[in-house]
Amino acid sequence: MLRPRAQAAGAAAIGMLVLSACGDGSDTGSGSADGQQTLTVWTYYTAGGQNDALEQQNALWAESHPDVTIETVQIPFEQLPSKLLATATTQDGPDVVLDNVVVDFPTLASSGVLADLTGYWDGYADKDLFPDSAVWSYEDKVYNVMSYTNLLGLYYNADMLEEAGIEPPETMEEFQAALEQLAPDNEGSVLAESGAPTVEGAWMFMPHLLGQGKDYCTMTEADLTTNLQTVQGWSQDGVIPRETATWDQADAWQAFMSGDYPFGINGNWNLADARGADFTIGTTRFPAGPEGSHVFPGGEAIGIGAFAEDKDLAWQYVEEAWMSQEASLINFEASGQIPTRSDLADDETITSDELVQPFVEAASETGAWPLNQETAAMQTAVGEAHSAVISGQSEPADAARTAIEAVTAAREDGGGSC
Amino acid sequence: MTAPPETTVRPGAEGSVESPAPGRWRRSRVHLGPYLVPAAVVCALLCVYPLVQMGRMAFSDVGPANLIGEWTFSGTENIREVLGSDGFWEATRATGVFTAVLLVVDLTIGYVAAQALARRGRLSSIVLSLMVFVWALPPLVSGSVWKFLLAGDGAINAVLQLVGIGRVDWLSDPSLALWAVSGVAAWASLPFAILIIRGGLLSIPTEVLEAASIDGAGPIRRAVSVVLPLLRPTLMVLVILIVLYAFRSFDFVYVMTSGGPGTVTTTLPFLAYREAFTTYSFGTGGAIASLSMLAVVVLAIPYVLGVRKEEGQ
Amino acid sequence: MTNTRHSVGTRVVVVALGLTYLLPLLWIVLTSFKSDQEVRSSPNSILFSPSLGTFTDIVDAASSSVVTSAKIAVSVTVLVLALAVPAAYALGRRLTSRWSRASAWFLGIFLVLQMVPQPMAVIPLYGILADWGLVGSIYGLILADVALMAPFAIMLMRPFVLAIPKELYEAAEIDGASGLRTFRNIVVPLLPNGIATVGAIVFIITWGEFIYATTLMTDPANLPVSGLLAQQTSLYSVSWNRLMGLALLTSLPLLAVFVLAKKRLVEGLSVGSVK
Repeated sequence: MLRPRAQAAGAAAIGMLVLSACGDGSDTGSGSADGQQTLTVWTYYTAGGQNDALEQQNALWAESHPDVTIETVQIPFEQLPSKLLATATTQDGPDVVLDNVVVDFPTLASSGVLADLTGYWDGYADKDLFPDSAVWSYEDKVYNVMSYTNLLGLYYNADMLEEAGIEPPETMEEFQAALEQLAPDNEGSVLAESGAPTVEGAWMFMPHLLGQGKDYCTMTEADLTTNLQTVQGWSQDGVIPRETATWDQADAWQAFMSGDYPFGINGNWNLADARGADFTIGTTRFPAGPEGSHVFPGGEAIGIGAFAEDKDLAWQYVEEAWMSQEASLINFEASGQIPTRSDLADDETITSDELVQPFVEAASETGAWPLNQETAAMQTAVGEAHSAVISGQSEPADAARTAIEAVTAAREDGGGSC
Repeated sequence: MTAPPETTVRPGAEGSVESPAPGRWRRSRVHLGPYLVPAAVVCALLCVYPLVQMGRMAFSDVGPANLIGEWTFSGTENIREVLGSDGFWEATRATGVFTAVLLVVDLTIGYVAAQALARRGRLSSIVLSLMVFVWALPPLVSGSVWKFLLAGDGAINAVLQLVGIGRVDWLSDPSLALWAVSGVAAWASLPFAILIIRGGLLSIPTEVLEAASIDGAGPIRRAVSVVLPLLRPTLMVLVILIVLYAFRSFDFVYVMTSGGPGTVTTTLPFLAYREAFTTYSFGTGGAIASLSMLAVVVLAIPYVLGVRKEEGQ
Repeated sequence: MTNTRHSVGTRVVVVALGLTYLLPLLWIVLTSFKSDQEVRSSPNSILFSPSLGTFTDIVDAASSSVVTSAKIAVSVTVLVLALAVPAAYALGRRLTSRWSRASAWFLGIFLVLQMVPQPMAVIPLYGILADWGLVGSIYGLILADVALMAPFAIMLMRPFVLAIPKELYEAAEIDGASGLRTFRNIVVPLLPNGIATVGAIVFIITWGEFIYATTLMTDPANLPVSGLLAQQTSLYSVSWNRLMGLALLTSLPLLAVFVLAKKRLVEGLSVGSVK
C-alpha cells in the first residue's frame, strides 16, 4: 500500500534533482536586464535595534538610488566567517558584509575574501573625521571600516544604589567598596557580567588590565594573577554568582534586567532595551584603574566582498548608507551604537542623551587590540582563565600561567606582532 | 570491493549462511553488490572528499590565509602539538564521561522505556509522541530550555529550595557541569534510543515471545535469554551511533556552557570546532578531529568483528 | 507483546518519563506566550498575561520556511531510503562468509565517513557543490543532506534486514525468483517497520539540520526552518520568545509526520506476513 506512493515520490524527487542540475543554481550576483541592480549585504544581526537601523539606513539609500535594490542576508553569527571563507572557492560572495572585526579581521583579510578598500578610503573626503581605530588594515591595505562602535560600560540600578546610599563609582576602589557594601544584602547577585570561556568573557575582563596600563601584549603573569584574584574574590564573596562562568553578554544582560542586580557590565547596544526597564537605570564608565578607564572598541566593521561585481557601487553604499553623518545618526537612534565620526560627538541627538554619554567618552579612550593573526586564540585563552577562576576550577596563579603561555604561543604563531 | 560475491559455501558453516545443501557447490543468481552501488556512489562523491580534506588538514599548516589554496605539508607537527597539550587530554577525559553517561542512560532507561512503550495503549501513544516532538526540537532550543531550568534562579533550583536542599550550580560548578550537560544530552537522545530499541522489539515475532512465556520464562529471563540476543544487532548499532555522536557533535556543550566553566565541559569535538573556527587553527582542529576519528574506529572494531561473526551465530 | 496491557509499574515508568519531557515543553510554550519584557524580568514565572504578539510576528516567516523545510525533508527522506534500503539489504543478507567480510568492511567505511564533523565538512562540500553549480539552490542542500544521512540510515536499517528469516530467501530461490524480485516482493514488504522508523528519524534530523542549511543556502527567502531558528541568536541578544514560538510552530508539521509513521511503528511487523 505504501510502496507505489513512495516510489512515485522517489521518482519525483529524482526528477527534481535532474532538472535542477541543468537549470538554476548560480542565481546570485548583481545586475539584470531592466537596469535594476542588486547589492547583497551579509550581516549576523538579529531582531532588535540593529535590524531596525539597517532597515532605515537602507531606506535612506533607496531615496537616492531607486534603481539599486538592497538584499540583506542574515547569517547566524557562528556561520558567517566560514560561509564567507567558503565563497573563495566559488568566487562569488556578498557585495557588502558586516563582520565581527575584532576577532575575525586577520582571518578574513588574509584569506582574500574581502576587497582592498585602500583606494576608496584614500579618496574618501571625510576620512580624517574617523579615528585610527575605525580603520582596519592588514599589510598596509584597508579591508574594513567601522561606522559605529560598541563599548562596555557600567550599568547600575539607580533605585538600589540610592537605597544603599551609594554614589555611582568612578574608580576601581570606589567600585570595590560599593560591591563589598552591597554583597551582604544581595548575596550572589551584586554584579551581572559575562564570564564565559570565550572572547566575550575576555572582552569584559580585560578592561581591568587596560586600566592599569596593560594589554594583551604587555601584561605579565603577575598582572594577570592579581586581576584574576580580584575576580576570584568577587566570586567567593558573593558579588558575582558562580554562574557567571558560563554567562555570555546576553545572559548577563538578562540577569541585570531582572532588577535583582545593582550593577551590570555590558555594552551600549542594550541602551534601547534599558529605557524599557521597570527600574531606573544609570550608566557610567568602566571603573577606572590607576591609568584611567579604557575598554576595547567592539562592534561590526563594513567590508566589501572580494568578488563583488560592482565594487564602486558597493563603496558608494558604504559611504552613504553607513559612514555618512545622516546614516550614522539613524544608526545611533535606532540601535544606540556610537558613531565613530568625530563630527557627531557634539551633535545634539547624542549629547542630549545622558545614558549614552559614558560610552561616547569611552570611545575616545579605547584600548588597542593586538594586531596579530592569532588574536582570537589570545582572547580565548584569557576568557578561559577568567571562567576557570570564577567557577573555582583553577586558582588564579595556575590559570594565569596557562593563559600567559597560550597567549605567548599564539602571539608567536601569529608572527609575533602585537 | 563491489565485485559480485562468490556464492560458494564453506562446509564448516552449516546453517549459518543460506545453504540448502551444505557442502555442495552451487551457483546462485543473487548478486548483492549492485544494491550497494547507489549508496556507494553518493558517498564516494560527497563524503569521501571532506574526509580526505580533514585528514590532509591534520598534516598540513593550514590557516585562514591558505584555507582555500595550497596547503603546506607539515608532517606530524599538528598531531604532536595536540598530543602534547593538556587541553587535549582533558577533553578526551570529558568525552569519555560524556559518552559513558549517554550510553548508560540511553541503553538502560532506553530499554526499560522501550519495553513499556512497545505496548499498545493511549498512554504509550501520547508519551511517545511527546518524546519525539521534544527530540525533534533543535538542540539550540532544548539546550537553552535546560540552561534556563538549571540556572541559579531556575525552576529546578526553585523546587530544590522548596524541599530544603538549597541551590545547586548545575552548570557552573566544575565538579557538576560535565555531568549536567551529559545528562541533558542523554535526555535529548533518549527518544531516539527508545525509537530504535522499540523498533527492534517490534520486529521480534510474537510467537517467539509467546513460546518463551509458555515455557514459563519470567520477564527478566525472557529479556536476557530471548529478547536481548535478538536485539543484539540493533543495540550494537545504537551503541556505535551514540559513540559517534559523542565524538563528533557538541551542540549541547555549545549551547549550555561554551565548554566552560573554564574548560570543564570541553569535549573533543568542541575543542576541534573551537580550534578550527574560533581561533582559525584549521590544522590543529583537523588533527583533533582525526584523532577522535581514530578513537571511534578503535571503539568500532568490536562492531565490525561482530558483523563478521554474525554468520557464526 | 503488543497486546498486553500496562501494569502499574510500567504505567509509573511511562508517566514519569513523560513528565520529564512535558515540563521543558511547557516552559517553551509559556515562554512563547510572554512579551519581551516578561521574558526578561521573569523567565520562569508561570502566571502572566499571555500575549499572542510573538506568534503574529513570526507566522509569516515561519510559514514560508516550513514549506522549504518540507520540500527538503521529504526529498532527503525519500532519496535516503532509496539508497539505504537496498544498501542495508546488501549488507544485511548473509550469503557467503566472504560477502560477510566485505560487508563488515563496508560498514566500517560507512562509519568512518560519518566521522567528519559537519562544520569541517561544509567547506569542502561547498567546493564540490559549487563545481556542480548547486550552491545556493535547495538541490545542493538536499544532496548534502543525503550524503550526511545515507551512511547513518544504512547502519540503522541493517538490523531490520537481519531480522528477516533466511528461510524466506531460500524459498524464493527455490521458487526461481530473480534477485530483484526477491528484493521487491519479499524484502521490502517485510521492512515497513524499519522504513517507518528510519524514515521518521531521517526526516526529523533533516528538519533540524542547520549548519549545511545556513552555509549552503544564500537566498534568505529560501531558508529552511532550522536556519530561521539559528538566526534568532546572536552576539548581542537572543529573543527567547521568538525562538521558542518559532520552534513550536515549526515543529508541528513534524508531529504530523510522526503520527502518520507511528501507525506503522505501533503495528510493527504484521504477523501474517512472515508466514
